[in-house]
Amino acid sequence: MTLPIERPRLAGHVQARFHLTGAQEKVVLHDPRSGLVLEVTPDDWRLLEACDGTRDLDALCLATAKIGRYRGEGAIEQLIGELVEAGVLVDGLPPPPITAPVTPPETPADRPLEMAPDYRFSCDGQGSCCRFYGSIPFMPVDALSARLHAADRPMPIAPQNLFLPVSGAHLDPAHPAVVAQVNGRCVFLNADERCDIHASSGAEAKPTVCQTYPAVFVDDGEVVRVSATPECACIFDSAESEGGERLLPDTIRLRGDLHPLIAPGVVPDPVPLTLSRTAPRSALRAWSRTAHDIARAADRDAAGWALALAEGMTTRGLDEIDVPSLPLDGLRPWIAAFRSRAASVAQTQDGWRHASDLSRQVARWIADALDSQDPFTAEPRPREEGFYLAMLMWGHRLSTGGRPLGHSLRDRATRILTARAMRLVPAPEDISSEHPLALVEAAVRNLSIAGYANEL
Amino acid sequence: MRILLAPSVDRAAIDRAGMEAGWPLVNIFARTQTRPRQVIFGDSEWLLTFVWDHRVDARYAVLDGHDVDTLGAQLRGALPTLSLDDVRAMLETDRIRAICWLGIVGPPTPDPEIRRILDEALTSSDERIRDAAAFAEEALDWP
Repeated sequence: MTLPIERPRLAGHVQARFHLTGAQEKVVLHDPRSGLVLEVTPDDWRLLEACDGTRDLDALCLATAKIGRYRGEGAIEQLIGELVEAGVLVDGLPPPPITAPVTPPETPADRPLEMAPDYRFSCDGQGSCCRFYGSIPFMPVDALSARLHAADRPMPIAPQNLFLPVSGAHLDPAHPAVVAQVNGRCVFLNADERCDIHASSGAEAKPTVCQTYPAVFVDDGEVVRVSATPECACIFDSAESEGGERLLPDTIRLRGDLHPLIAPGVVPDPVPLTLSRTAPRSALRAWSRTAHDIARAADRDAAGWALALAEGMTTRGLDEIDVPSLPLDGLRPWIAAFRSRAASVAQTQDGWRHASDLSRQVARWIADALDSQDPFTAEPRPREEGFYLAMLMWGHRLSTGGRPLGHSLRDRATRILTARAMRLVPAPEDISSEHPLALVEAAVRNLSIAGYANEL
Repeated sequence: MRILLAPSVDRAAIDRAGMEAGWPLVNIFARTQTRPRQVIFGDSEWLLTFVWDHRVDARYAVLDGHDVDTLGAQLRGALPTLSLDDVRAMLETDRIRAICWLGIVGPPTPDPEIRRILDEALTSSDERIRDAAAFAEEALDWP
């Protein structure tokens, strides 16, 4: 027997996630480049872990036999063949990294953190963020602590399956690892919708990324802007309520105070505004501050204003911000593309996620809303939508996704319209319908909808 | 002990038999110029080596351990095999292959009839028959 490739290895960009769905354990392989989603069994995953680019078919037989998972050469050959055909396996070791002649400067440790103004955060304790994200990375020491925590109590998932690599099949103890999920929930979220690690050992014992959530860090060359990623209902509710806490403790004021493995995003310099126009990064700093203030004022249609800013990027660049909203017709191709992508994603989620899985419910809600409702006639929610744009603008989030600022503005206007359509249809039973925009924002990132605009 | 497998036995059949019987896979030797391909199952008590002998187009199992009779019975129950009588019968239809395979299925102590067949083959005018007999002699390793 032979393999279609000599020494298979799971491609470095493929993301494997361990899920317990109902009573079924599975590893879901997601190829973010193609959008492909594949399911394999935990035994298959053990084989893929052995596919490290050095083992041929005989060696894979022996590697699986060594861990008691050998199911025959033919079974290995069949699985490898199918995964090669799906494009998620490559041949041999990865090429050695090429040392770049010029490397981007790292954010200096003494760079100050600049928090989103007039914003304090109060978590509602509903565990929404623990039920939605497919990739919750634990820092190495967090993963170690979590394993110790798990060792003391019954867990629905075996210890060897609690963490998988962020990407590829090689779990490196020096790098973050992604936690397993039960019906789309973090395995450490308990029946009371509380983090079991937090409940047992206190807030400081929570994983680093959970402690810093929803803070996002972006270096603009002078400061590291800190904003709240608008992906959870309580982030929106916090904007309208008194109290709450700073996004970060008072003791964290410099980049050097952050965990070293938290890498701030970086605003490119110059900043692409359109495919043919750029602006210096210093101009973006001023633009985002003013834009944030206008957005928070919520005195115009947020989607139409974002569209007006996008349209003006070609002629005005960053010079005029306080412009009136435009009619939304220019977003029709964007909504059409979003609708198409959302329908495809919802179908995929229906195929493998449990009915109670929040990600599946949200994907279906988005797809059904866009399929049955006209988002262009739906009522805006000025304060919510204004806050949404304000956070993204303050945090330079529209300039760090690899796309021109004008593109990002149209994309966010499209998401706002999508959320408006969602309010016209009943929300799934388990979901708060109060802030669908938060769910759209989370779904676009979490469920790989973002690529919808690639062709526009 | 050696047991000759029927030509229809492939790796998938061996794997199936191994999984049903609980034979742990312990090693695989790839074919080289001087060594046939070998897939080895076993534990601390026994070894069961499946050999794909490309030199004589044969697949056979080599059984080692202190209770190879039980293991051999288990193997014969799980996979189609060829006996000494089967190979003798082949002498009429596929003489060269049959002479080679006598070396695999022949008993560990000298057998007069096989001895006669091999002696006759060693003096054959056909070089291929002489080579087959030489292989069988070497494989039997009788005194």
